[in-house]
Amino acid sequence: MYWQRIKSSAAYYSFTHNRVAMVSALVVFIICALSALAPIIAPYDPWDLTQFDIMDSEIPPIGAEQADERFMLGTDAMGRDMLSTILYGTGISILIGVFATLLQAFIGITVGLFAGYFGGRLDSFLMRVADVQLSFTTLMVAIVILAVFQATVGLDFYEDYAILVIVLVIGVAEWPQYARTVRACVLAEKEKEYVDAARVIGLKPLQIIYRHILPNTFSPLLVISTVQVANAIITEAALSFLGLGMPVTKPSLGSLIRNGFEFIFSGSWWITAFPSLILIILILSLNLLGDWLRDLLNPKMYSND
Amino acid sequence: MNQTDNNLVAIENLFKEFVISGSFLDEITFEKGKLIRKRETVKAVNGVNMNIAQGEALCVVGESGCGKTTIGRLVMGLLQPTRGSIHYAGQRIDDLSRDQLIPYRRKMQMIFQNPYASLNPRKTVNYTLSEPVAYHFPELNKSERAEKVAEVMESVGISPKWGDRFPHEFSGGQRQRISIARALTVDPEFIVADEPISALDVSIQAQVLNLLMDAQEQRKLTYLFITHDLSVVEHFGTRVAVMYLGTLCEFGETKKVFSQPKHPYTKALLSAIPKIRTTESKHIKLNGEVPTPINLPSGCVFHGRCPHATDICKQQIPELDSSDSTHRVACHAIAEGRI
Repeated sequence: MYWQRIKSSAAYYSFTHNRVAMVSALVVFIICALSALAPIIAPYDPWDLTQFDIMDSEIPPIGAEQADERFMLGTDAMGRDMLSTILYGTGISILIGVFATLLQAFIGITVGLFAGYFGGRLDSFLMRVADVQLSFTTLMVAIVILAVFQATVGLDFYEDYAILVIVLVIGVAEWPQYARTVRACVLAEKEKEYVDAARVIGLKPLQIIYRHILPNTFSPLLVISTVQVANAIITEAALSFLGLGMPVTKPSLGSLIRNGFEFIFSGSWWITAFPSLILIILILSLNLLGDWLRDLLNPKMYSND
Repeated sequence: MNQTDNNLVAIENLFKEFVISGSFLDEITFEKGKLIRKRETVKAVNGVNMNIAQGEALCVVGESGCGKTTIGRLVMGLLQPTRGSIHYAGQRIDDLSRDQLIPYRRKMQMIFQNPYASLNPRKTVNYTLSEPVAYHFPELNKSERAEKVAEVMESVGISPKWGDRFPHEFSGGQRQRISIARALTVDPEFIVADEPISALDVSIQAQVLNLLMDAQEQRKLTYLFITHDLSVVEHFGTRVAVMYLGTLCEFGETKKVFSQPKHPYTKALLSAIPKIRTTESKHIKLNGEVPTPINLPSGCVFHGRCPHATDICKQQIPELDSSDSTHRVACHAIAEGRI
């Protein structure tokens, strides 16, 4: 029944006739699947200090001289297997990207719905707050908060809660994107007669907002969500590259790139190159997917009525 | 109003102004060395008195922008009147809060103009129709609710089998039937129909109109029917209210108004109905355009275009005369016996 509905939808048709969309969806799926299965398929556990040996440090990937067949993509300066570390690190990056986006969406959608529906002073106030938030760049907010946080609680404590803190910081810094999109949508939707009909029935404003208006704002949200996940992953990578993100013991893609960066001039290019490659492929695929979604949901090309 | 005994809805001296000058800061201007606060408003409804008797179909007609839709929305509580009052079955309802209005929501429903916008595109027909039932009849269980919805769907000619479909799977006429069904699910007594057929094909208009008339007969409904289609009024309405620029110019039984229109505007309006088999053109042509409702003309709002206008028309706002309660008209010229 549902499969039938999906199969006959315009989205399915567009998807199966768009090679770029299919390939990027496949790439995103593979990367997500591999990183989710990391504990099973990774040859080593990069978070377990007992599993690596400093004597194995900076072994090049297979194909180069002095390669070691135990380490397909080589090892980093501490002797960690790059393949395992990348698998685990990608997982962390995606996790942060997704949860930070969920947090952004939660704050942004709530603010946008209320600002748009109730209008007036509440709208002006919330949107000025959003403007203020946007006038600070995400990176700046994140750097300040993370630096202060690291300094106050100490590195040991920070390492345990790094994911949570980064999700919070990126989530709070980027919510205005959602708030603005949702507000614009609500302003258009609330003038439509089905909202009047709901009011005539006597529904409470909250019921109207969540039951009737929110479902009609999903299309643009879907588009910005893919882009926002990509943005959050990049922001996390940038923070980690600056030494403010994930700690070396539980590296994300960004921290791996940073770790390798110190050794790139001594010839150990693989420590930086492989995580960078994965990051680029992941972000590119997510953005291409977002482009396809945007084209698909563009009312001028395809009416969702 | 003389027929207070069987009045279901009474509208008294109703005014509605929409502020268009923006926020407080936008309103302040500097003029002749003084700071002045200038407030610009659209005067959509200006002192309308109207009563709707139990069981009748009162039609409100007028051209675009004359305030007929605004009256419908004011009656339904979708808008707050600037001044004046609305009574439903003797109870004042225009100053009630949302919670206090809930018992009236069950008695008063609305049918909207655009069938493409009045149904939530993300909700199935079943959801759209069972939501009001669940809200107003919480005592019904799930199967009783489904039964009620199916019964209403049947009565408007939509098969209950289609309940799982989404609005975009229906035609405009079918959607309007669903829209009517939504209004009927709560067993209302009074329905405001805001141009319910003007967005439909001519062939479908008659069907939907008949559906509305059948529903009126079976359920003893009272209608406030807003339209600009005069042939519909002749067919459908027991009484008709002719509006021009937010004021009522003629109000009476449909037959009387159509056979002997009194107000110069009504005469011009009725002469504009296309007729088959007329050789001579009897159109009354009005000069100029409808003035802007932002700066209303003084006196009678029609005086600038009226062939019978005199000085009193420019100064004094005419009242509906009460000599004949079945056919009332607001015109100085008629009151003075000039026409």
